[in-house]
Amino acid sequence: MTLERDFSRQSFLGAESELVLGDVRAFVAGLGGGGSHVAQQLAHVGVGEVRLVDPQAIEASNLNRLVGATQMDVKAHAPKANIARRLIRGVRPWVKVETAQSDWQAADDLLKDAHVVFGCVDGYRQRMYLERAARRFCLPYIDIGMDVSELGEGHYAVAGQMIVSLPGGPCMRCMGFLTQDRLNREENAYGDAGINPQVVWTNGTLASLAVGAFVQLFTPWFKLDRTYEWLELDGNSQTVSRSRQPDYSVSGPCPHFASGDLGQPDFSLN
Amino acid sequence: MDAAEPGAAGIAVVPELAPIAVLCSGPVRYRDEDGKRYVHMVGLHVLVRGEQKELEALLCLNYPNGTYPTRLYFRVNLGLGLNWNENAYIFATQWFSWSWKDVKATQSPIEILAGHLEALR
Amino acid sequence: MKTIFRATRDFERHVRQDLERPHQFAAERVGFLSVRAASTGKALVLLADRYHPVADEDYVDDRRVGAMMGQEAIRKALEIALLDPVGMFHIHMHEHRGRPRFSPIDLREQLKFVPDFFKVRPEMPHGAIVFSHDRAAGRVWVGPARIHEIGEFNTIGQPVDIQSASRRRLRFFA
Repeated sequence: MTLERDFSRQSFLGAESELVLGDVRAFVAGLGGGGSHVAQQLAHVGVGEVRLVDPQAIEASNLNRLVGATQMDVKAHAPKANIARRLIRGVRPWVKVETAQSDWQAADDLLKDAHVVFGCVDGYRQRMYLERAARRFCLPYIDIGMDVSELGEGHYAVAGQMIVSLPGGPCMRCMGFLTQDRLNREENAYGDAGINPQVVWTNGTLASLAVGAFVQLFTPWFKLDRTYEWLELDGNSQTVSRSRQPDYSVSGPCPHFASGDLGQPDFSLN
Repeated sequence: MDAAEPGAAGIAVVPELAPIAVLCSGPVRYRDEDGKRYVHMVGLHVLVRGEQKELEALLCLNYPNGTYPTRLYFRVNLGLGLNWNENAYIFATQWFSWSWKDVKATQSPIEILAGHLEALR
Repeated sequence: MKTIFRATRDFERHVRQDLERPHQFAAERVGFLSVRAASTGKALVLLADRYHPVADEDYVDDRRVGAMMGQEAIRKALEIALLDPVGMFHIHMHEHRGRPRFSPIDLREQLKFVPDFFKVRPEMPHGAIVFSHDRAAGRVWVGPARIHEIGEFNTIGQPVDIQSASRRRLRFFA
């Protein structure tokens, strides 16, 4: 235990949890409202290596929720990945942080040899592709996202999800979260979700659920038997509950990822 | 699927892909992922806004969206501002696609390809 | 370049269960793992795809060693690599806890058959892995005569386990 590495308050995670978390390489796709929270928490719990990917620079409208961002960042059009890196280094200067200001697809070298993928991206289609990438390289995938929809004039429903998808287990399509109908509707609307409302407290709740799920996966403090997880956040009643959708959707082994979809196609040593 | 005369770069081209192979300087072959069948084209000669380009491309022949029964993807983002464009991840690689509706899947592969390339002229 | 071997927990459990089965005369069981691969600029990632146990009848009765596979076992493994773009890794298990090591006989025998896989599938890595009850070690060939240690083993499931060859085993649920 040192000034820089005092994890005594989380020693219940396991006698060697500090070493375990220090060995983890975490890949975070999307450093907006959800991803910035995730990055912050990964630093606090002591993850040793974090790879941060987001193509965007901060805008003024992001400041309502982008953890670690400042007014100066808005003026400087700071890349979101850089803001998250600064945030992490401020907490744990020793954490190895790699960033890419690009689409995550263009930075997939940072994903392939990671140990976990956090999906904090916009849209169902990007989630679909990111989960496919995680399955292709046999990685746990933890997804978060929130949505605000209008119920009637001046009344809104706030909702969100945290999903854990493990290779060999049910995927988000098996669980009934990614449906062809949802994917098609998003595509047919040209991916236009309009101005997508996002708020810090919902994002924070979802990010905390994601990091909690990650810690449960990697440290022995609480033995879980589940091969997947889908927690639903009801932002109106402020409750979190297990989604019942998989009870109706999951049947048998996941059929959506074939053996040939593992690894890099056309891989060659030469 | 029967092999036909060898195509570019020594990869055999099946008969229905031969007209596409004529347009390519590299191999042309079928590939499959996630229940979708693609024609993978290396060095496809394309006229983009009057300019000749040679691009790596994927043509999806059975896309599961009634509005987009087929899709064309490129390895580079042509940045044409055509509707929206999607960042896809297929065969562990980034691809870019635009929306071009109603290019029917019941056509031959070359007809499907032509239907999509029309948008780029 | 670091080499990482990664498998799901279910896959690893299945392999261990098979390797623990008794054989009529061999003291150990052996098999092959077919793997897919990926690379970054800094790492080679081996992804366990299928397990191919050596058939009972393909062992040679040689009581000087734990297990000796015959030519038919190797022929079948070569055929797998010929027909599919996979790397092949010989696998067996040592009956102890803690970091396993290849015996001198293991190392000698590997040199005889692993390079042959490059004749049928030269673009893929091949090699050998040994399990103990709770750890793994391995060697990867990235060419017929280019051998590296597998630096890290990842078991993906509930829970995830990361074993670094350079660090002692972190034991869970002891």
